[in-house]
Amino acid sequence: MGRFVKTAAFSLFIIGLYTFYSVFVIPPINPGEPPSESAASGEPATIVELLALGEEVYNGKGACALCHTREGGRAPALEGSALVAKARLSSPGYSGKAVDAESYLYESLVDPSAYVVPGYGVSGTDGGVSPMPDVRASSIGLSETEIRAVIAYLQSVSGVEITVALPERRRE
Amino acid sequence: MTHRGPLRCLPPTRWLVPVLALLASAALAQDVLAAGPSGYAPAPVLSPGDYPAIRGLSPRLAVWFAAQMHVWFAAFVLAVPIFAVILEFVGVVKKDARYDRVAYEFLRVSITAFSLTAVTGGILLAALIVFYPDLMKYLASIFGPTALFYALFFFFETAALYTYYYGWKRMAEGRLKLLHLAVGIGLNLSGTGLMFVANAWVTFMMTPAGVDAAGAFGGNVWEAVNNHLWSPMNLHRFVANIAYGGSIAGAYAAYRFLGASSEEGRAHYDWMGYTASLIAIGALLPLPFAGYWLTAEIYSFSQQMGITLMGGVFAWLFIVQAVIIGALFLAANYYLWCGFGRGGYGAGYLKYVKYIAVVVAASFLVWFTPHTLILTPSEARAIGGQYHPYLGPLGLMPAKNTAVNMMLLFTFLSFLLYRRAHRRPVVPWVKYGNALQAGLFTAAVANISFLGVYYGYFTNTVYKVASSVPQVATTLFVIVACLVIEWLMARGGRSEDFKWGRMPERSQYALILIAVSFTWLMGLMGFVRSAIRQHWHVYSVMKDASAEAFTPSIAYAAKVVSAGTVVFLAIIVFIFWLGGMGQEKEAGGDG
Repeated sequence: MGRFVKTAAFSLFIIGLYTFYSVFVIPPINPGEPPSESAASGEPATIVELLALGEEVYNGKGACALCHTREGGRAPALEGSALVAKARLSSPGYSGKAVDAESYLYESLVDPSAYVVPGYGVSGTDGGVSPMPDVRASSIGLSETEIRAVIAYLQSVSGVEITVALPERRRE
Repeated sequence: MTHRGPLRCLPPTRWLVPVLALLASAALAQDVLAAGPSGYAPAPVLSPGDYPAIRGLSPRLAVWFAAQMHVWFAAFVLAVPIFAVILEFVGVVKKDARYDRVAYEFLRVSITAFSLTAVTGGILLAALIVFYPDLMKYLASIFGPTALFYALFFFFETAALYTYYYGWKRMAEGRLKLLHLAVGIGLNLSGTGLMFVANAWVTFMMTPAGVDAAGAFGGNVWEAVNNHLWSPMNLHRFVANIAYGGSIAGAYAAYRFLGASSEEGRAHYDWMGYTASLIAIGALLPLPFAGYWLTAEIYSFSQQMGITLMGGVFAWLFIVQAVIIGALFLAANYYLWCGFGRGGYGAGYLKYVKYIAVVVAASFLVWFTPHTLILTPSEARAIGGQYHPYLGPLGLMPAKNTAVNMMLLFTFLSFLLYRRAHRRPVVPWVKYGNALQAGLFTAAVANISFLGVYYGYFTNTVYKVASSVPQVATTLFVIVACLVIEWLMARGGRSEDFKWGRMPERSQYALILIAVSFTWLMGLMGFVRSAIRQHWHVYSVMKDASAEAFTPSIAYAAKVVSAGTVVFLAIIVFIFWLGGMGQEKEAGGDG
């Protein structure tokens, strides 16, 4: 009986130690609720609302900030993306159909392999294929309004003029 | 002693579960197949009302608990026959009855767990059908045909298991012994096949294949089975099961060792514990590499999923994993160091223990260092960002790859010294052999460090990951090369028999720690494997719309895993007790 009590107590102590460490020592991170489907249900009526939606999607549902960080080095940082967009159109590696900075950013979101920033391609493809998915695909599933909002947000953080039209105006 | 016919020994659970699985799968599949004109409907879009509820019961928790229990039992019962057959084979080749006796004892310990695996599998299936009917219908519409294979493997495994176990003493000599070994191999093949079928369903939920963006099945079952994660998961679970089974069997031996009243009993359980722990640690060594392949395939399927796993909300979970793996390595090394006392030459090697301990502990601390620190704004300003200026680089994967390779190398060194504790080489070139081994170790440490530092911090991301392959190759090469040299040097050498049973009692707690840690770690990693799907039943194809679609925190998961571990280990102790009773009865009958 003494052997049973000793080994049981020892086992419980080990389990308790791991539990204590996981519950009280590591930082409490709550992954939060799943991204809301209704993020873009209310169409933004002003540029301010459009930018707010873009920032929300960029850091949340769009999961852009997962890879596009300065520190991570897994995908290029996007702080100046709208600034360099136009120059990319004449780059030798460009194979898309965009005609201006805004359409280039749109294309980068829905067809990321149209231009792959050197050093960020899938290994073994000679930099020709981007590891980024089409943001309309169901794992991310951005709507048209959400994509436009992200583009507006990228233009905003790049410090260039916001050329994205509000949803109502686009429909006209 | 009386022997019952194999078929008459089968408990109803062994027959009912596969039959129910087959019937349920056929019924669910038929329902969905009728849904669309092409035969296959898209994945259903669900709402919270589509999930049946039972007041006071959390569906997710019920399924989680049942799945975890099933996986623990299944891992144990899939592993034990693997090393039972290997030990039986070694016993036949070496003509040493000890191996046969231990193999049989391992199997007897696991025999009750087979029925419990089937019972928990049945509970899991029922819970899934009750609480997640639409998910099960969808999966059955794709994997319905595989249920037939599942049932067939199940029947073959059951028949082989009972023939193998109950035929052990009847088929002990001559050709019958070889036939018995063949039955054991058949048992393992069918058990492994069973696991592969189950893995296809699980991995499809993570990395679906053979379906379009809306989840409509294309009709090719093999494509769905052979998804991104199927092969790496098969390998990872196969190796991990062996390590896990070894650890549980080792804990059983330790428990019996602590209660043994005779020298003979202590010697037997000491040897059994050593053999089981050798299997556990031997399988643990390649496990990080199998895990690396699994993770690489996750990244290959979806960068987003990979980053969620390693750099997102689960990053801290890997720190917890590092703590446990560090504890496993320290316990394994401690057990080996205690084992120096079994051999006549062991005392001479004790002086190296402190150096090995320093390296293993330092490697553990590197592995333990987090990448991104969760800080308050003032703390972040004080150190200039989310990364510690000095310790930050140790949080990156190259540092961790370097650390794990060092841990493996020095654990292997402990094993080499342990072997030397009872054997003194006398070949004329012994000095050169020792120098060659020392040189190989030194070169390996230098190479692994260089690869980790240079490619990890002075090249871009692609090379950071790629550098881990030559690091692993270096470790494996040194292990194999040193074993060959050791074998050549040992020929004709002076050896003393190990004095089995000459182990301090505290060493047995290292074996118990290994088993408890393995169980807890398996539960935690099972959580993260499932949790990286986040709010998807089938990632990117079928959303979880239930009230419990949110990803739980690591703290919550740890509590669930701990509760499960306590329940599982309590049942295992009960099984050990039954096994002990069976042994006493058998000994009485034989005697």
